[in-house]
Amino acid sequence: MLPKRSSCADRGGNTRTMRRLATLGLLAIVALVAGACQAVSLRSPATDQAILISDLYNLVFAVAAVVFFLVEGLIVWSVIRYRRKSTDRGLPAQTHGNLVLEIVWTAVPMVTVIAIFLASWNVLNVVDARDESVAQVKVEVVGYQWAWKFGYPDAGIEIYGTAEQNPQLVVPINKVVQVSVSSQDVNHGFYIPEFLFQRDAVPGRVNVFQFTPNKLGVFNGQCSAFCGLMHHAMRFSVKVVTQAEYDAWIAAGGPSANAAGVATLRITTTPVAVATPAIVRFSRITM
Amino acid sequence: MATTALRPAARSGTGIYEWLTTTDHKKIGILYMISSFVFLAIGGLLALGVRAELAQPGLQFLDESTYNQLFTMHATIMIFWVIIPFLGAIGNYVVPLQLGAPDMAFPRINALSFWLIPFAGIIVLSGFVLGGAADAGWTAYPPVSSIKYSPGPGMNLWIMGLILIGTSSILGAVNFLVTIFRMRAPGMTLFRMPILTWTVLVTAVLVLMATPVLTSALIMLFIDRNFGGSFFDPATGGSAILWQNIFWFYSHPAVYIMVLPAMGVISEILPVFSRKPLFGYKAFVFATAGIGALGFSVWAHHMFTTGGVFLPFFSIMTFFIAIPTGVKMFNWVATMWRGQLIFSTPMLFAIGFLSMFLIGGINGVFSAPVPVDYAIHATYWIVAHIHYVLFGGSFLGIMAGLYFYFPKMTGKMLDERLGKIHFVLMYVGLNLTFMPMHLLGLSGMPRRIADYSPTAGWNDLNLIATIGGFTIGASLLPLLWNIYISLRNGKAAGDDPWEANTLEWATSSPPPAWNFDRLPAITSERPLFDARHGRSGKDHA
Repeated sequence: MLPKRSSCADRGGNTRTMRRLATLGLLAIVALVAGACQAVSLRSPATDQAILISDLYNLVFAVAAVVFFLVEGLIVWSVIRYRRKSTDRGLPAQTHGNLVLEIVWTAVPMVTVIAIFLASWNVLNVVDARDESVAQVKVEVVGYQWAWKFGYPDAGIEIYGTAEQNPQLVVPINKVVQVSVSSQDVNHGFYIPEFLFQRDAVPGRVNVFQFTPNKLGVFNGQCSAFCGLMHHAMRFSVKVVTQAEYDAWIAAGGPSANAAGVATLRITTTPVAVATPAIVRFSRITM
Repeated sequence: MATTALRPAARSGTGIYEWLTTTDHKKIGILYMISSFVFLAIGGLLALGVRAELAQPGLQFLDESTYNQLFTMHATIMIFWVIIPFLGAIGNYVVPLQLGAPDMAFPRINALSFWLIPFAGIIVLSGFVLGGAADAGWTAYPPVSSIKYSPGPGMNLWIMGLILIGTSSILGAVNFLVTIFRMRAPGMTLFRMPILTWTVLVTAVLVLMATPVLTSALIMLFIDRNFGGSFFDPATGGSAILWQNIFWFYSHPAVYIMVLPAMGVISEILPVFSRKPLFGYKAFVFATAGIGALGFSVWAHHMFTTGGVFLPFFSIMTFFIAIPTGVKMFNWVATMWRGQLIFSTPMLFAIGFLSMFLIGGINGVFSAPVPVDYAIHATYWIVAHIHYVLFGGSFLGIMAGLYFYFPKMTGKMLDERLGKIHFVLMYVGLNLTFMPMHLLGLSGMPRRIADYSPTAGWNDLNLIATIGGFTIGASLLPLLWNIYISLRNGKAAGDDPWEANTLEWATSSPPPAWNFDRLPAITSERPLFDARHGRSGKDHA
């Protein structure tokens, strides 16, 4: 991309050794990049939406890696190649600029970011899709200092967590789950790393999103928006089960019937241990 | 105005009284620097407290309340009392010299701008001894910053201190603008101004447009907290999101306020130590202005997950702002290309800036595609991003400027060997600290948590980050020692130890109170280069 040096090939002796070294170096870089890519990917996605987000992240990462190695490579090359040497006489050529180059390195990034933007817009339209009619399970999430309430309005189940006893949301696999999230005191963030997703719980506001879990298992989540003293303890989990297990769980009235470690959670009809100045009434808000 | 500006000529001397009452921009610049070092020590200790606590899961040293105060005050001090004033120090000292001016346009206002800083700093820090400092994060989102959820005196003190330091910034910005537009030496046209002065000019415009907005938001929060206002309280008809909009309308441009002058410093240093002019001077000026303008259209990318933002607009603007930054990166590399690079300490820090700020630019772009932001928002990825920008970028730029301008400020050279030890320790330390945070963020560790589950898989990475943090702390010791011994018996610097290009090197080191006895002819952006080598058609294509 930058002006080519005039006399590059005639330095060094054995070009074949050079080429072999270059190949080895290239292989090493490829191995390094492959290894690094393993380490720097997002969590393995556990919803249909998360797969798209993960793919988009990988695209952005690939472009970022190219830019990173290109520019850092140019910096390292300059530092090695253009050190001032004892043989340097006089000044180097006083280049003040190059219009063509400058247009190229403005236009190429411009096209690249527009392309990534379009790709991200496509993903966004899926991830943020909120079609009420396709929702198969509806849950209400309310954040409060420092725990979560999970409600299943259709089944009349409400689960209240505490900072010590983290609540668990149970949802069936491969079904569209619609979450409406709010807060009754300060801002919170409903964040599940393996869903590659978070949505803020903001007092006075109901945020709605949908997800379709596609992996069985328990996925940990925690509050991502700083919410005061015990912010770090505001954890929860999402358990994805088969439809049959889910039906049984609902029929049994929620967590008390489930033997898998969530029996400590109780079902109540009133909020526990929270001051509720601005509790959101979901019934009045239609999504 | 001219007579006021010449007043410092009547004063000289180095007594304490002289320093306390000085209106000389050079002495004020040095005062800014001393104040920034003091607050750096405080902000750094706060950060080490945070890192010590996070080294392993469980609460070992702090309780949650103290932890929340520490990370809140670390960010507050580092942003408002360290990085911005450090850049203010360089701007104050260098800009009038680069313009060939005898002082700033309003020397007394300049002194006021400085003296507000330590007093405002004492106010925000006094919370620690008056029942608890601010603990709602430096972003102070209501309702968690409201009187109900943060009832201590800390938040009120924080608001008052921030309003004062904002006033200091605004006064400084007006002063810089008038100085740059009215006090340039004959021949110094706008497009012959050094790039550092250009970046300070754009920064001053950003401060003037953005900081009053923050001040308004702070006053609204103060009214909410103390007089029953309801700007940000949803229970009484306010909006919690409103604060985020106003706050980020200031605080995103603030990132450019904190990085543009550092870019300016780098753009002075790279040409000098490559022995070439800056590649694409005009493109660089336009890119700086472009960053300034676009900087006001991206604030809501901090709010993608709130559900209350027009997503596509802020997404694409965030993508676009990467472009002028990228242009600058290519200009810097092209400046070094085919040069004769000299690796003195200022140049090492400048190259450190390039390599680290690049990472801060790239990992920031991940927040522009909204769905990716849903995954990484408010995680340690963002902590890594902001530290690669403000530490790897701004702070390394400040260090480069310190080593570059120390000879001018004191007449003494800093020791090169200690400088290189400082650079290596700091460079290694910052990567040890902030590189692992990318992985922590990707695996889902939220920021601002005092504790984490031992089974989350975050133990080793946090330990590495803590070791890195203490390495950064240690790296400042050779710097302080270097300053101490160099002031006592450093090598004499002479007027122009680096064979530099701009007017500040055309006078003695340190310069007399009136700055210049005579000025060289100014016919390009490199008057000293022209004086040294003569203007030739070849040199000025």
